[in-house]
Amino acid sequence: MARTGRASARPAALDVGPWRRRVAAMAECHAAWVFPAPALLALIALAGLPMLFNVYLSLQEWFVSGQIRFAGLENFRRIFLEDEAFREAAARTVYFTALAVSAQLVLGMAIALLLHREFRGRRVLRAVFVLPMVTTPVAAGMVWVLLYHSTLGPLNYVLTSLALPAVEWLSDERVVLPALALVDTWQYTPFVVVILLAGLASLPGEPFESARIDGANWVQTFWYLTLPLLRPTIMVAVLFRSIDSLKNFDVIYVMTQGGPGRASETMNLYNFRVGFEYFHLGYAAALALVLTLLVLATSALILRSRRAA
Amino acid sequence: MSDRARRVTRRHLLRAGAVVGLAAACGPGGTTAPAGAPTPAAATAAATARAFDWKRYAGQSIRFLDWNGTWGSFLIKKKDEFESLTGTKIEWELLPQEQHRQKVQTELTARNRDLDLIFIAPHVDGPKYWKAGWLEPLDPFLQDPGQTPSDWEAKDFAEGLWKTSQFDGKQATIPIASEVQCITYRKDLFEQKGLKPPTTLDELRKVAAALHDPPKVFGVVSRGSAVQGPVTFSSFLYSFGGDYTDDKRACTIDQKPALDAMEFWGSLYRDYGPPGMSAMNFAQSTALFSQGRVAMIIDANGFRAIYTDRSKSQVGDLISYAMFPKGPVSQTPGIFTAGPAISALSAKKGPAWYFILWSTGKQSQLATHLNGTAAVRRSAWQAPEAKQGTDPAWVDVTLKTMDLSSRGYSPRVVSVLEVRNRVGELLVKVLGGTTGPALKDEAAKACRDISDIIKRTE
Repeated sequence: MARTGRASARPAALDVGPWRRRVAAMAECHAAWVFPAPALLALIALAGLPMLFNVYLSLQEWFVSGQIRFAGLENFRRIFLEDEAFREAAARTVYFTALAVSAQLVLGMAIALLLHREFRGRRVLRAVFVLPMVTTPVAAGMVWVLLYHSTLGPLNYVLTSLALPAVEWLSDERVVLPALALVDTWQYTPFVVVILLAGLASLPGEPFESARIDGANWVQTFWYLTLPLLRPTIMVAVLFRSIDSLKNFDVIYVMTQGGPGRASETMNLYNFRVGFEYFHLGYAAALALVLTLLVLATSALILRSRRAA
Repeated sequence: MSDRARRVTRRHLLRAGAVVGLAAACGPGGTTAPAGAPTPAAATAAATARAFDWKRYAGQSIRFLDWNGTWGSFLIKKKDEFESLTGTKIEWELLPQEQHRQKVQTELTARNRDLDLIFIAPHVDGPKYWKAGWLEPLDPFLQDPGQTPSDWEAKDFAEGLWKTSQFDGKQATIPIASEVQCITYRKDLFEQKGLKPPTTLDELRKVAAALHDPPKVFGVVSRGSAVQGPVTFSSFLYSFGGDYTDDKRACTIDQKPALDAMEFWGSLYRDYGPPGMSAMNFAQSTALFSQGRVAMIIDANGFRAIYTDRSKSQVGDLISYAMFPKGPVSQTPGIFTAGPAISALSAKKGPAWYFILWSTGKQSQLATHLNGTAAVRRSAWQAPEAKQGTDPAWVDVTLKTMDLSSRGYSPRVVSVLEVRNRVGELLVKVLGGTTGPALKDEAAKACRDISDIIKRTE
């Protein structure tokens, strides 16, 4: 390796041997691999290897008090052909995701458009709107359980004082998933707002000026200009929220544990129950794999439509 | 170190030693003597106990995964007693039931040798844990006079519950609670309407109707969630002559007795129960009763500790107890027990056994009995403090029910929770209004699933 003319002024400590110099040279050449190496090793150890073990487990049959037995694709056959609970959980997950993501998108868009305008107190309002997003999901869930309480909760108190019938938010099968989607919306609409605000801020001003000159009204501007230009940003928001909603676990677990009965049991909850309450570990590993593939497939679809925008 | 520094160090040590000695003498006693004047019997017992080497495992430490039920939450306050008796330190964790089961099974599946003691319910966890080889048989400890003091007296325990804690003839746990299902009712509301506690299920329905005054007071409440509903439903099921499975392990929840029980149970709670019952575990149902919003609660006698806790309950002085009523076929309230067990993977079974000796010994049983967890030891029931310190109606109901019934709450299968949850889902549908032919179909579906579960896990 070429040395500068100051070599003779170098202190003795830096006078490394030829071996060390060769290693240093190699490291500098392959810096792209060397620097991320510790993080990569950690990722492999903490995520990669467990993933491989999961794939191995999904091919076994292992009920906790029995032996591990090779079962081939038996678990997957049961999931897709026999397990009605899985099919119902999948349907509930898709329903929950569709509800939550569309509510968050519509509300988030409206709030983002509002906060994009200039007005006094805009900064304060922006800070306030972001607050729900920074609360711990478990804590938020527990507070909402109190809000939703059938007899002691404020929501039903308000309803009954307006002479409306009380709603059994978390114990009525028909209402529980929308009620949970409402909590998810309350918590993560700010997330959508933040993404859309960034998108709005990055839009060029000229098309909007031209539209104003051409006499377009607010609705036309929004429909023909804002939305199409914002489409990539919207798809990013949809991508993140869809992945999160498909995997949603902590809020539902804390609030209803999948109840009443199974009415709010989404796929992740079903997976947890099979694995950690009933301890059918091989089957649970197979379920986890199916859920992961589903989330990956959904992400791929959303990314594809984003690119098409 | 300089001469001066050495002198200071020695003086410091002497001073510190004096302070510690003074504190030990004046502070809360860590001796085995119970609070209050010891009776002559206790003094003799204490003398005999001292002859037994309690400090055999001094200096070790053990870990106990416990429920945050009335027994554990109360006894943990006395853990200093155990630590100074044996010199063994204990790390005592309290968890809610569902999370407790998950944690125990996760740790034992991972073969964690760091876990020494677990709290189990023989009817619920027993079959599965025994089959997995996780429970250490306690007979070698019980039969060794060097490991069990002579005054500990295994014969003091009620025989039925002692036997129920055995698997393959080996003792898996020492039962600490005589839990029975009974009616806890508001005697003030009953007196107001001139009612008597019901003795049959039909009378129960009539009394609930008379007291049902929504939204101020509801007639009757119990657990209704899919996870815990079957616990309190069992008594109805058995009293109608039904069961979860028959002797050949076939599911019988779709048979006529079970369907009749579900119809009765459903209409009772739909008509006279509070809204939202299908989301209630015992935490919510006992809280609602403790807040004075329900006239009757059908659940465990051991919850007396919750109802009489002045910091949480408003009804402590207003309640009384009655036996679970007679059904059309029999009067079979469900019973339950639980107790500490030693993990077969533990490396410290000796010290763990000493904890079991202390926590199931005569003094601890009396203390928890007075607190509200009905003891299994007869000596606790017969102690003079017990005769004064417990509600006679509660004593009467518990003892009569123990004599009457020996049916546990849970289905007699290996994967108890899975089968119980499946029945619970059925019960939630019943609470939601499913009756008649629709219920028959749902029950048949449930039985198909349950048969599948039994096939896969036994």
